[in-house]
Amino acid sequence: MVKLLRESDRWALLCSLTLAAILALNGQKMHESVMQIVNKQQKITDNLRRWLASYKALQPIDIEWTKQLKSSVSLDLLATYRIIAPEAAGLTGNADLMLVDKIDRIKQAGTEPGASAVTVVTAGKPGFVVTAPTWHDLINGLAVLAARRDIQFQAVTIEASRDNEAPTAIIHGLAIVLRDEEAKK
Amino acid sequence: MKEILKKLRTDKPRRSMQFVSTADDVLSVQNADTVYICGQAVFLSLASTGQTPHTDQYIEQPPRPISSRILTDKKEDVLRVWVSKDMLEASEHLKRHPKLAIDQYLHWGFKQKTDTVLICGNENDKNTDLEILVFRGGKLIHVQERSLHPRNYRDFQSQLDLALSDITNDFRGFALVVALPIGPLNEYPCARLCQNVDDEPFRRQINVSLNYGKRSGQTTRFLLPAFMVVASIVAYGATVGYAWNSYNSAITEYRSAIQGVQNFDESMLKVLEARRAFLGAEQSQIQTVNNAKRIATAIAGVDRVHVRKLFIKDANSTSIMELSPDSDFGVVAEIPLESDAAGLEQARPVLDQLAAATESKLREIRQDVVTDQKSGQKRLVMTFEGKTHG
Repeated sequence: MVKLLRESDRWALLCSLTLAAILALNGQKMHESVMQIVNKQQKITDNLRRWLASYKALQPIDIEWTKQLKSSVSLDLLATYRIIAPEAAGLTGNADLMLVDKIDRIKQAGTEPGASAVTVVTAGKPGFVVTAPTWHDLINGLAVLAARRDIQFQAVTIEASRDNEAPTAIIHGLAIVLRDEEAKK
Repeated sequence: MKEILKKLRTDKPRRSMQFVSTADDVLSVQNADTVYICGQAVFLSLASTGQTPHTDQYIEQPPRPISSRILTDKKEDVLRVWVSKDMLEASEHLKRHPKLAIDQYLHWGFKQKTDTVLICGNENDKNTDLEILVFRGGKLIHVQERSLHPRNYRDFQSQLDLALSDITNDFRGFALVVALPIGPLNEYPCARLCQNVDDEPFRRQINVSLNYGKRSGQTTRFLLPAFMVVASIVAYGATVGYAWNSYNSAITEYRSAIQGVQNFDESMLKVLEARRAFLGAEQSQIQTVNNAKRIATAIAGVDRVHVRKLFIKDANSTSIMELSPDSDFGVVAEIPLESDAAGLEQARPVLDQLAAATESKLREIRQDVVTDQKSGQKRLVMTFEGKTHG
């Protein structure tokens, strides 16, 4: 084909071929470098999406967390006692004699979910003391406390030295779990 | 005359060139550096005269300026040029573009300081076509074509005489010049003053492209390169555009995805997972209380037995109380003694009953006999412990 062309045509063809080659090479390069950026961006977006999906899936957890656990902001003993609220379970305690024994960070498989367990005792006793009119009331009250997410304890001693006496329970290692205010979101 | 003809044959031009005036001439072209189209294949007309050939046989070429002062010439001051279609078709087979001899004559004429009548055209053994170009002050002012018999005809001289007399009358005092491919004319009396410039107009090559008409004209010749240029630009635009588009859409996706997210942090997920684990963890304290309830209820169901104390811990807890390591609850219970019989014997059936009621293996740790100081009633106080199976 080239042989059939005259000289000037050959020049024109050569020029256009050169231009086409330059454009092709340049276009290829541009395309590649831009596509690299695009891929990077897409990966970031994918990660973000995955994160968001997990985050959204875990969103109810966050709500539940906030609902189940009270905030630990500026709590005095009375406020702490009111959060334990033995009365709500039909039990009677003594707020005046309550002391904080220790405070531990909550850990879950090596990660801190952002909460502390405040262990309380009644002064002079090995645990937190509550009473109720009957054995039945006492054990039911303990069951109500046990079912709460923000209450932890390990053992219970129930005692009534006489038949007509109101039974007393010593809750060993009673802890109220309070979430960190800062850790939210 | 013979000498002159001989000289014409031997005195070859420096560059090899060939003049063609018919399609047949073109076919006989061999390895010439340059082929010039001249003679009857070319039709010339000063625009002011308005003469035109039959357009179905000729293809018009771009008009030529009639002097080197293009800028000062009037627009209509041009030389219109046509080339016969036969010639154009035939010359398409040539390796190189043929040129028009007229461009060489014009260029030469523009440079002449003296007023000049240039005789050119083409001659062969069939006829002599004279093209007479008149330059005044380097400007073409007159064009005339004359068709004569070939030189070997007897009446050639009279025809030449006739052709030149008009010109010499009209343009008195003009230098008379003849150039290739017309040979020297000064052997004829009417043209004895005619100066032969031979190949002088062809020493510098003037490049003007030919218009081949629509069929294979400029536009179609450059169609392929033009198409390639356009196609490559379009392809480039498409490639880069596509990449750019992808980039934009990736950015847009990211922006829409990140909307409302304040803190994109992997550790946040871990914390949330930990919270989920915490909230979902089994609370052994519930079982502990249930066990306490079950045991208390069970013991209360046994006749005459009163529970004084119950201590219970969860399965994992190692803490507190006076329990053996393999027990997780302890009970202090009392029964009133019926008689003075040995306490142990009275306790045995009660313990069995308790074991059955609590569904646990019980072990008695100690027993005491206590006498109530008011009523004098004796009671057996038993301490035992066991393991729930929950």
